[in-house]
Amino acid sequence: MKLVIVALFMVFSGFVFAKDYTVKVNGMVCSFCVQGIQKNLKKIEGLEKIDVSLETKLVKFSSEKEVPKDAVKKAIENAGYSVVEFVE
Amino acid sequence: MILFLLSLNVLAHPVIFQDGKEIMTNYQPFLQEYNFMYSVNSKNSLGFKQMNTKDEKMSLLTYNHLFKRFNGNDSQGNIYLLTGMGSNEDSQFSYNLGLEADWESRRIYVSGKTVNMSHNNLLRLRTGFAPYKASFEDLNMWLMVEYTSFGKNNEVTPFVRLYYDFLLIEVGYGLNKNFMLNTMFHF
Repeated sequence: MKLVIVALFMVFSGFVFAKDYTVKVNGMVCSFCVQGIQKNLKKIEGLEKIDVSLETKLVKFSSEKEVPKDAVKKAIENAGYSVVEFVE
Repeated sequence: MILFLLSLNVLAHPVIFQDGKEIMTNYQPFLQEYNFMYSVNSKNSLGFKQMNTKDEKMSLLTYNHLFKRFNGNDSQGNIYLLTGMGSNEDSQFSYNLGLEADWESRRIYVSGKTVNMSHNNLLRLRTGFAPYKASFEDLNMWLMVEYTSFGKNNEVTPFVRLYYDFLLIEVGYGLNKNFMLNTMFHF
């Protein structure tokens, strides 16, 4: 019963689980690179918690909406960097 | 004597990320430069440059183009075209036309630039290393040296580059006793 109530609450409250994304990127060597990628990714509607790591070369973010890979790839390339792969 | 012209472009990339804006200043006793640049996209930038030397003051509109970028796993290389066009305080035509190449990792930096200008040619070479790998949140420090050839003048300037968040500062003192202070920020 509790599960049903929780499920109904989530449906009617519009609650949506955010999906996490991870992208491996080449060419990042400094904090200015990080800024460029963050600025361009923020142009994509709905992206949250954007984290860019110089150590791992991974760009992570989450979104409640489905984010087209092409839009992410284009944003990162507009910043001047290369997408290696989307890590599932 | 005009000396050390056009050092601003070695402070940072002449083209940055799409919609990125960059303000750079360069101070040396014989040269002061003020530069604003807007990257239309990741390949092309437009801007304005004011250059003051002992002999001449130039105001230039600039256009820079990224010919090629090499994105490695932990490195980046670039080849740029540098152009500028305008006039000096006597309303005479002034221009810059040059090439710049750089390669950098998180620990090593190398760059070279040659520029043909209205009355002189410039060659500038830079190299340096970071004593530690800094993360995005850290203060980044580089120990570097710059060689400049401009006309009959040659100078070697050891300097320290520091940057944090969106601000970069370079401080050096040349073997010919010329103090150098460069600043730059992105937004």
